[in-house]
Amino acid sequence: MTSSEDVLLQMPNVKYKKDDGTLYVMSERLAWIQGNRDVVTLSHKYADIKSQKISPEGKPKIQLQIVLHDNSTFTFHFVNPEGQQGQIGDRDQVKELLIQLLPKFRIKVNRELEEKNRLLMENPRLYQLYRDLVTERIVTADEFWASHAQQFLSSQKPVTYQEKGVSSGFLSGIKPETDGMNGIRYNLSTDVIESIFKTYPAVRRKHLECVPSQMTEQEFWTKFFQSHYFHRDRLPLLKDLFSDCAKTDDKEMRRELEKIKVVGSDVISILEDSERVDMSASEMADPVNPKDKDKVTAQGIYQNMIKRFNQHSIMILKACERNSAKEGESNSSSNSAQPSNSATDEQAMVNGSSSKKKKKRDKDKDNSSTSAAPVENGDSGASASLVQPLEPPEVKRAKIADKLAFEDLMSTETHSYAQLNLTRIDRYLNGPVPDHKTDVVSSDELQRASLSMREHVPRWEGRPRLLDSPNAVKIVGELQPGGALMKGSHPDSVALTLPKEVEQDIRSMYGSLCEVLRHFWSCFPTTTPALEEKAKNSYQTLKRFEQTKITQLKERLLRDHLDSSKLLSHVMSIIAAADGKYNQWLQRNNRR
Amino acid sequence: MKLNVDGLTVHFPYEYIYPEQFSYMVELKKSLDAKGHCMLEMPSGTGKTVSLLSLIVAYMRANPLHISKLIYCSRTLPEIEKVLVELAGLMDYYEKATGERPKLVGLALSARKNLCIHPTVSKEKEGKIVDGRCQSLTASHIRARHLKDESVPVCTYFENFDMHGREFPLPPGIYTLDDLKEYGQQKGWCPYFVARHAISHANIVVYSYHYLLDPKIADIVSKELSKNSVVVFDEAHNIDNVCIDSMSVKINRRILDKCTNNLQTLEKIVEDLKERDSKKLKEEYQRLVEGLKDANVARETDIVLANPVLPDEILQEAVPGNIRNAEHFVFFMKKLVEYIKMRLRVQHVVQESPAGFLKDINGKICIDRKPLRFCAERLASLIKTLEIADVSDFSPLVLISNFATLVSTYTKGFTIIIEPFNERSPTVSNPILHFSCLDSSIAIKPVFDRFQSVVITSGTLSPLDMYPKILDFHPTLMTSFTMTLARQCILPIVVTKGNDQVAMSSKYETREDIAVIRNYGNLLVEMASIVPDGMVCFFTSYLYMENVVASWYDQGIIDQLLKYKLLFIETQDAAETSLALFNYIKACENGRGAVLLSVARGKVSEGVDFDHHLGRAVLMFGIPYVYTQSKILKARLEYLRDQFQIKENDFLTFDAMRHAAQCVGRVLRGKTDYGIMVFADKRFSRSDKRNKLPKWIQEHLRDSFCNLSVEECTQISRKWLKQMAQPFTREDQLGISLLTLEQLQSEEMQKKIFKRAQQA
Repeated sequence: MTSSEDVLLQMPNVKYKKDDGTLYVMSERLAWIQGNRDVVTLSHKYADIKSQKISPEGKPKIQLQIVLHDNSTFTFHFVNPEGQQGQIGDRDQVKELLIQLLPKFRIKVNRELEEKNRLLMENPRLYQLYRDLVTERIVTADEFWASHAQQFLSSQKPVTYQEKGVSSGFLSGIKPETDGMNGIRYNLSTDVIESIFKTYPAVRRKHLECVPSQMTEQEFWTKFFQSHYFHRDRLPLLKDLFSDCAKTDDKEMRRELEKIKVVGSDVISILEDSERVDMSASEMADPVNPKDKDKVTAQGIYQNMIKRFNQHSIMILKACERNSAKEGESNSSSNSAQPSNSATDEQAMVNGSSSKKKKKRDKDKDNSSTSAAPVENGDSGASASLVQPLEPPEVKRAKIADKLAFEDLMSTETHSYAQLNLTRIDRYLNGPVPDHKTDVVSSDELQRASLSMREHVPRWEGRPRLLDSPNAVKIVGELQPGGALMKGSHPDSVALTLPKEVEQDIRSMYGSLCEVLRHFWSCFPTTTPALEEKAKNSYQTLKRFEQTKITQLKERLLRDHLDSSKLLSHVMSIIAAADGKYNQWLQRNNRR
Repeated sequence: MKLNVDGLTVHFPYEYIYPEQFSYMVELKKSLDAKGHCMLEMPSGTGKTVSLLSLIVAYMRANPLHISKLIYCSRTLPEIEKVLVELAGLMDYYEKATGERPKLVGLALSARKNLCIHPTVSKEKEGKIVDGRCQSLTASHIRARHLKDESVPVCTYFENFDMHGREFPLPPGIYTLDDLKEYGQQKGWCPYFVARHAISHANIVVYSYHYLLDPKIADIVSKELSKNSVVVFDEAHNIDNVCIDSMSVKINRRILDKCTNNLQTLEKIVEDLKERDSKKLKEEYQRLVEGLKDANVARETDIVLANPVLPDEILQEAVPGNIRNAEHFVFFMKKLVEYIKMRLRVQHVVQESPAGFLKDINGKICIDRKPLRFCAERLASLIKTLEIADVSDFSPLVLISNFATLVSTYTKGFTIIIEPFNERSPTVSNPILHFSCLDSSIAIKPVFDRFQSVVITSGTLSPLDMYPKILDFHPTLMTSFTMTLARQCILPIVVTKGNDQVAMSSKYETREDIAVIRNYGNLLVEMASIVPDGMVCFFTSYLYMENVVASWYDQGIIDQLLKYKLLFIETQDAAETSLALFNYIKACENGRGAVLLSVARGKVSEGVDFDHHLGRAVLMFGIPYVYTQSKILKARLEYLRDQFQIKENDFLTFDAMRHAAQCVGRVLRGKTDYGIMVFADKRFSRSDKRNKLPKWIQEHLRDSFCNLSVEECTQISRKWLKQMAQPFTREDQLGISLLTLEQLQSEEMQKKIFKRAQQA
């Protein structure tokens, strides 16, 4: 084996192009080794693989095909001597593993591609360069990204990848259709599934638990659509796959409630306590009988449904929050100099989200161990730690005052100037003071200077007058293009007459050339072997560029605009300069 | 700015002023001058509170003898906090303008739960428990025992306050609840009792309605407030209901069962005490013979047991003989509880007057009216004698004794209704005895009588003439101010029919009609597609909302709606609602937009503001009539008709329209705000309904907008929203809805303001 990667699965008896061999599923690539050789015959990174296909059921050959991004395909034939059953087993093993592995890499690849694409779209100059250099095959794409677009990549923030949000109406997109045979069919798209998973983590968990092992994908979704979980107006049946999903949702909601109580929104306080002065128990609150809640009445269903609507909306909001939580974190840490109010808000939000994450992790752990006790512990611990950060009275008061103030009644001058902190005010007020020791100006000198100044001033007007102002204006006018004084000299008349697109071409060519040259010149002086190598490379790039782009352009100019080849004289001269430098360097190198 | 309001110099803490604020102050001053009560309606978001505070503080400073105290009653804790912050701002402004802070003491008073700083007690979440634990540390007998035995725990904060705090008045300043706590921490005094003590000399007291209106509390807390105080009831549109609630009692089976338990415990304690220390009981007996007067001795700390509205002359009398003995009294209470239990065993609804009840109880178990009247006081005395500190366990028994006292004291204006089951679930037996106050003037009468000026104010008090009738008082002034607007920032629309021309109405006959429900749904979806950010909808009841939402789900309207906005729904569960509300706000804030379905008369409609993007449109599905089949309501209507000559229909419409106004008013909280108000019911277009809307809504409700279909409504709204979305600057407002001092003083503007006051 050449690489030291982990082999996740080794599958003998796999034929590729009629040769027997072994298929290796490794952590980053899929490899196939022919027979008992040591050399890897076939190796593909997962990142390069677009998809996998399997032969349909019932076919005699059990095959697995992988399709790369460039649409080349490779087909593996499973030939387990144990017969078809074994072959299918082998194949499925590989398939399952690939199902898990591929998406991970795909996201990465997609992300990179997307990012690059975005960069190109956002920087027209870079895009031009890319077109000139890469599409003309002057440099390869990798080289381009590595050298020419480095600063773009690095100046960007570490890949901010925005996740797709959840549409609030995604469930309404799932419309049942009759299939003509007294049945109903639901059409699910991956988007919808993704939305469901995002919004209802409980369903995702269920899906992970059940799908390959207990039922097929289809069965799962059929069950889902039959459940009361989906049909909010149906009664909760006892034996339902999703009944515990509803329960976890409820739990989640309760937790949310705890959290907002801690955050302490004023709105909530209005609802919770309308300043009852319970000096005597004049009113005995009649807590709802626990029995009533479970009672199956029509009203009960409606109430349940309303609860579900609320939950649905809250879950969607939360799903979106999860996406933005990361951004929020980075924001709040970078913008620490914000006004205190919003800063605290954000802080609170971030706190909330991070604690939520923690809780989720806890819960996941609990689920795996399926014990109830830790849940309780985790909860109480979390709530205890959360109770403390109630807002201090000053913040509260500021908040109220902020809410109360009538902005339009206040005077316009807001005094929000940044305060200037001065260590030595006199310096600020007086400015730099000349060093008195070195050039002391005596009062005599001052007097003398002022006297001579005074003498000079009256004579100032007596300066010789070369032109009177109308004449001057006239001359300036003549010096403008088309004026009498400008006759006979029109150096850029050619440039002026060029059509727009040619001008554009030249301009972009200049840009690209400059970029290439920049790389070339940046190699000198060549102090390290790497730089030497780079100098050679970039010189070759330059030559290629000259051959393809510039000659092409030159020819076109010659053809279309006869005397405009002059325009490229500067281009030629800078290339010649580079040539000269390179040759000189080569000679010196050779001599050494 | 410094204003001259009818000869009085008023410091107003802003550089600009709304014209209506000035008018408001002028009117308020008139009524203060006249030492009379007044009712002022001014839309929310026009700075009622600040105008009110500025004027009254200025008045107090100018005529300290005329007005010595401002009692500001608000409804919710956040409101109370807001008033104090506003007040503190005003004081800051005074300091800036005049160079010295006015020597005024302003403070908030709230329940122990919000003021306690005791390390363990304050950790309790429920108000009742905090009260109970506090009393168990501060009751007089506990403290007496502590003197003998150090190990008996007491509250050091209270002890410190009792030792030193009483001599020192609170230094001038404005104290919010947090400030009080901080002050308490600093001095080591109990903030609650500091506040309680301070309200007698404070210049400005801000607290909840209950401290004045609930006779059980008012008697203790607000008794010594001087006559020349100004009382302000803010957000007073529901004041009659608060009055009624404070005087009504509800008794169900569970309470009675708990009572029986209470009595058993009580009996046992009495027996114990008899064996151990029979002297005490004898002493009590002696005391009761002499009279109740010394019941006041340690009242300050034992306020829980104060009696409800006992007329003073009764306090002078001695407790009747048959309940003086502790055992006799327990037996007496047992009999009473058994009697009420018996009464609850009914198959059909029973309604009777207090007099009838008294006659019946006399006939059946031979209990007279007189001992009943003393029930509350006697129980208080007993509990004190038995040294039961934590009274929270005995609250059911206290409730029953209160009921007994009330029912025997008031024969007019009350009714007793016994219902065998809840009306929502007529199959489940759940008998309830309602002792219901029908006359809202009973509770508030002492307030009107005692204080020279009572100001009733709110954003929605229309129709104004109803309140003096139902509260039975004579205001010197009733004014409704409109909002001066530089642009029409509210758009009231009456939608009467769907696109299919089927009339929309929530009236009983048609409300379950599938076409009506669908049209409501279409209206909602159409509006959701054009209104940005938040939208709030109000239904007439939970029941109706649930039904409508269910059929919307069947009709696929919910799915359509979800395409535009997230959906949140108010439920009867407060926790769930607050979660929904919290997320609604979040959804509005992050730009996704949301719809909140809610219920008129619900908590959301009363307390939550949907300003700016939180509510760009409010939809009122139907007229929020109160549930008319309720026996209590019927009794009240009858009473109103007989006593005050108010027609049933008038009252019902008044009640419905004030709630509708309250709901739609949620959406507009200031002049820079804007919002659509859709009244989706055919009946709103009738003049008897329309005219009962507040003036500031009415004046923008054009005739041409009174009979629209869903489509027309969306068209108008779309156009209007575009206009409103244009930038709106101060310059646009200046001179019209916003004035500088110069503009205000200009003759022309004065004339205009005067003219407007005349109109109003």
